[in-house]
Amino acid sequence: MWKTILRRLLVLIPQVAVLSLLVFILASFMPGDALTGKIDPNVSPERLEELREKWGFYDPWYVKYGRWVTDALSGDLGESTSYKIPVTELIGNRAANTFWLSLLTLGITYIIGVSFGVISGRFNGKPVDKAISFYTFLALAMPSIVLGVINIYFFSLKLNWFPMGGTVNVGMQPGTLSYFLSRIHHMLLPAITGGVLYPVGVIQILKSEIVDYKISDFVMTARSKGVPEKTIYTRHILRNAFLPTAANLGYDIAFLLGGSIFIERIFSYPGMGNLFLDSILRRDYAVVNALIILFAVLTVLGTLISDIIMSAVDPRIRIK
Amino acid sequence: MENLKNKRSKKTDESKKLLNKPSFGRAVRIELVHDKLAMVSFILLIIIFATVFIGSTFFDLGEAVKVKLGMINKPPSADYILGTDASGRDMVGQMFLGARNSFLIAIGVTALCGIVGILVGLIAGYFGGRTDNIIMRVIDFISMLPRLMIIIAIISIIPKYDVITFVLIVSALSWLSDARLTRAKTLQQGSLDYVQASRTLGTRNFVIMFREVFPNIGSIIIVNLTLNLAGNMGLETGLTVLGFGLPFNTPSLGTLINYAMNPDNLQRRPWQWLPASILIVVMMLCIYFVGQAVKRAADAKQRVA
Repeated sequence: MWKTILRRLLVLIPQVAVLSLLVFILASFMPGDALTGKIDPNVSPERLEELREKWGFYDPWYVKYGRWVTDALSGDLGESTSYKIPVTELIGNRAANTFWLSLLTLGITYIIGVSFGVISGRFNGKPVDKAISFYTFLALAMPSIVLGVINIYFFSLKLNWFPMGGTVNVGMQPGTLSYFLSRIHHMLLPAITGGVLYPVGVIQILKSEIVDYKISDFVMTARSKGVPEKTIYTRHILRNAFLPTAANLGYDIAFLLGGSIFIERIFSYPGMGNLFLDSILRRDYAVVNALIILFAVLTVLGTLISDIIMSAVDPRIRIK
Repeated sequence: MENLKNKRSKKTDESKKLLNKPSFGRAVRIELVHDKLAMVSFILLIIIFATVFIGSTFFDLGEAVKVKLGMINKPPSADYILGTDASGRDMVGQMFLGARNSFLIAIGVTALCGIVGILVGLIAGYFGGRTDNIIMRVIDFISMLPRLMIIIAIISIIPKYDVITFVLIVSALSWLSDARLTRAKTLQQGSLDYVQASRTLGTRNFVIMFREVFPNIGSIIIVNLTLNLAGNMGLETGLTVLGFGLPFNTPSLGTLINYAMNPDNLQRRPWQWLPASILIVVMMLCIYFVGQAVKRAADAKQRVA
């Protein structure tokens, strides 16, 4: 298995190389540069030209790419032109925010997904199953940005239960309990917004697994032996039905870390998604490049994690 | 003798009945009649589209986009049922325009993805071997890309873009699932006897692919496209709300929801963005319900009727 994981990771290298080249060419077409926004009367156009010359703006793209690759290999992804700090440090700061938000969202997603999936599979065709299936359609049909707007309107503005955005109240001391609670309070509404929309996949997988196992031979045997219905579910059906759900986790982690652009933006939460949009608007291409490549790598890793989880929980499956 | 003849004709009648599967269109109709939710959604969708398309021809759209400084940010009233926006434009007219554009763009993206996906999928699945391998590696690579980010990046590069370029950009990164599905289904069909027989007879490859294989897998692809339609609508809305969607002179429902990005509008003028938000959810929900009925019709095992 270790050999397989190693091979999958090795395949990642050419993929990332091609991707970084594409992203780099893309960036070289982007209008404006880091100095466009800084034209102020105190700096003469000659000086700006000189800076552009010095920073190598006029070099052909392959020279720039070569420079970028050598820097990136030594762990230096360049400096953010709008924040004036190294890109790795900037992304590191924002990654922590995104990580905590994703964790909370993931928790809510799986609590809803697993409980609704089990109920819906066990009472397949009953009114409660129909209600849950209506909910899954509603969640599918609701763009996250629309639910975000509606949630802010009702819960932040009308009911005043949650703050409108940000991460923490001003004037809080880091490390104190109230600081921690304030952070949770700020994360709760964005996490709920995502957490009620994303369980659809989990519910559908779990339901169809349970419905399939309910009529399988080993369950019939257990039932005819007189095993109580509750034990049939906990010991026989759920153990099997959870396997594909567990595998789904890897995809979900990757999706959440990368896919929260809409929610982070609408709640002005300073995570990586929001950083991406800010950097695009500020023409801060060092950050844009790094984030696109990071998310691509996360997607591949998520798939790999899913395969590993699948083979870990189900000894019948070997990853090849 | 008479008896035997009767018996025989009865038998052939029955076997005919068994062979005559209901056509896909008929199966969809039967499903719709039996699934009340899907039927209601279907009727609601038709009503929405009729209102939007007929309404936007009757409604004076020149009037709808005209700036009226005396009527800025008016709440709903008898004259303006949904109020006005920051330029004094009637929200009803903007809803007509927006819903029409949202729907047409979603159709455009879905159709384009469908055409490219079916073409690529059929070629990969039918020819197999090296062709399939190369196509699948390309698809694997594109599906690794963070789609939303690449779309946003490309849109911010292009200096002047319009609806057509927007549709092209989104489609360029969204045809993968259609291609994968078509390929998988084509692979299944390719090993069946009728394809082998047709090959032996010397039928041209493209005739087999489009006249013989495609009709057999078409219904499943139509299901996928129906469900994609709603997803594409949501994607366009999200991008437009963030300001990376349609150009400002083509309002969609996303443009109207974008009013909510201004905290003042969000808090004090819900009439500017709430109706559009509700309309997009209702439209997507209806498409999903109808799509679900179409899905059951395509798979005989799942049929309710």
